[in-house]
Amino acid sequence: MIRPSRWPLGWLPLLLPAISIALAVFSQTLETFSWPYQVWARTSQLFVSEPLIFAVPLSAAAAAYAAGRLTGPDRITNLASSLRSGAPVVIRQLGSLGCVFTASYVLGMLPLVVLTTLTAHAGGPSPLPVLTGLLSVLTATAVGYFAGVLATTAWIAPLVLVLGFLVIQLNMASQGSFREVIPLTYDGAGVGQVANLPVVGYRLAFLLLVTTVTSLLASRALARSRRWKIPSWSTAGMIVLVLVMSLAPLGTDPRLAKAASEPPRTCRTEAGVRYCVHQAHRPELDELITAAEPVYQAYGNVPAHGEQVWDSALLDGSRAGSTPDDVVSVGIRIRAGRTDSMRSPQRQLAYGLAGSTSCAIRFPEHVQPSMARAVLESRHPADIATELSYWLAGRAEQTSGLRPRTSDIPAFDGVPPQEVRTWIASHERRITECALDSRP
Amino acid sequence: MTTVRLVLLARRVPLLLALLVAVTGVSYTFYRTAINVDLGVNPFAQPHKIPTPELIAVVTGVLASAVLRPRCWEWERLGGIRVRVLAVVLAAAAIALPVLPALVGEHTMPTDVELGWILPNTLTMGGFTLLLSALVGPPLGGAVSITGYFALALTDNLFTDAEPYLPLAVYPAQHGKWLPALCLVSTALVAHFVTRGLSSWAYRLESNSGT
Repeated sequence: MIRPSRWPLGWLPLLLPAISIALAVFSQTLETFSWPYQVWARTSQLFVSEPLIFAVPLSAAAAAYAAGRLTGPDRITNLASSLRSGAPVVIRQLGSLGCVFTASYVLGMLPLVVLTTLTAHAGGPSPLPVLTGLLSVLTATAVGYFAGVLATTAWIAPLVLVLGFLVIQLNMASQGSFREVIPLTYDGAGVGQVANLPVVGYRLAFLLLVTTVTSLLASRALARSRRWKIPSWSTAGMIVLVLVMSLAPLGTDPRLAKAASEPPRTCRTEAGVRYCVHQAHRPELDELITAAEPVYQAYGNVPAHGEQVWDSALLDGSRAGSTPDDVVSVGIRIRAGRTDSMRSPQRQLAYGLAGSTSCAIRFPEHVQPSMARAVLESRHPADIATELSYWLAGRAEQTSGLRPRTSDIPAFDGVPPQEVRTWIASHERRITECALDSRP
Repeated sequence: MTTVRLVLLARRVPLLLALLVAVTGVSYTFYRTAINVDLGVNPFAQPHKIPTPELIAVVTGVLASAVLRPRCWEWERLGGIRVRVLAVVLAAAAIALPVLPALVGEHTMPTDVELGWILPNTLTMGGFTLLLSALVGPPLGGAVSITGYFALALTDNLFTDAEPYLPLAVYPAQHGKWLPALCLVSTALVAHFVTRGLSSWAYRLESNSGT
């Protein structure tokens, strides 16, 4: 019996890459499964992050294999003389490939998305990165298919696999020069940020263009018995357009993300200090307060430049001087089961209380010495402020009962704490202005 | 001379040379990059680094085995010792040529990065690919070879103490593993001598599948 076959290759060339993509993508999302809760910003960003490293080359190579096997000029499925040669063949074959691979990408991401839905505290998925990730897999499939059509042999597949690996990692190899055209980046919108629409939109448009052009050219090549010929004006125009769009943003350094205008926050006032975290970090508020109290104890009072402690996700960290005067910014990291998770907020808070914000504004060129010893010997106001922050963090470390690390640095040479506290009280204005010129 | 020329053309040697130039260029451009394979299942495991030149060399070996496959199989059956020698020479070329993309940028690496171990790795993978291409044919052999290469990367990432038992040296290695290279290369050459480049089982498999 002769029956029309939707997919003459059999299931293996479709199923095997689909399973590999789903497994590879799933394995790349495993890293945060141990976190106590998920954050939507990170989950959305993951769609254009590590999972693509495997999904893109695999789908491109599988599509190239299928096209190489299916679309040779001598194949009964698409003779040039046939009524359905050209676009209908491409729509059917590329449609099946694209649907299956995109679906397996979604399948691999699904566990993390479900987990995020269950455990995230604020917000929702951001559509742009998710869309970019899905479209990247579709684009890779179309490009691989086009390569297979032009090569007329499935032997192009291993080459496409390697080239796919290289192309998708171009941003890592070139410090992000291809941010606008290659979707795999690590600097997308984090917590408290939103996608920078022009840049992300350009990327989406580029991916759409590449998908359209490659499938169009593939259908043109399939409509004739010779796959290669001197390109027509419209074909050449499309190729030039793709080249121009991929090369135009080179050399510019645009941001993929910008600060959200009104990030949702959770605040609490404790002992005269107002603590605020982004709502996505809500469970960290208690821990932040517990970590901060010993630092304020060591300082002795609540200074004017430290009346508020904010999660850095609430502040536009990229711009210096955007922080309000009385706010100390603390970067929050979500980690499961860390015994010394208080250490990092304490150090950042101590650094902020010692006046580092005004030091950064007053001495923008000053580079802090990398060795702690050099900091202790320096007479620069910024370095004295850093030494003060060592002292504060060291005292807080002892109060919280952490293993000594910062307190090993002999800040202020073992001067009794009471004396340092008196010195702090009498130099508060100089600390605020980053004008310290003496040590206790 | 004409015979040799015809044989070289029948095995598509010019195509192989063009391919070699292209992959060597790509390898030189991306010489300092690597692909991290990290499943994240074992928190103590280092990510397995696949150097891009090594991956390119493996794929070049697979493509070389495909390009150099015997296309006049029935006719070559009739030939004598000279066809066997030719098959061995071409197999040796397919094993040796990927060394070029594997080592092309080695002089650009910092002096403290030792990359000499890529050479035995390339020969091992080339020998494995060519052995399989003679026994089960280039398509299946190439698929098994590339899958096995990635499976080895996953094994190394999943089991921290598996490294000494793997046939390939793994990224921050000091010494190459020459024993598997020697064994596999000699076995592959013997296989090509015996089968004249493609076993009859693989030939029937291939002619039935219609590739």
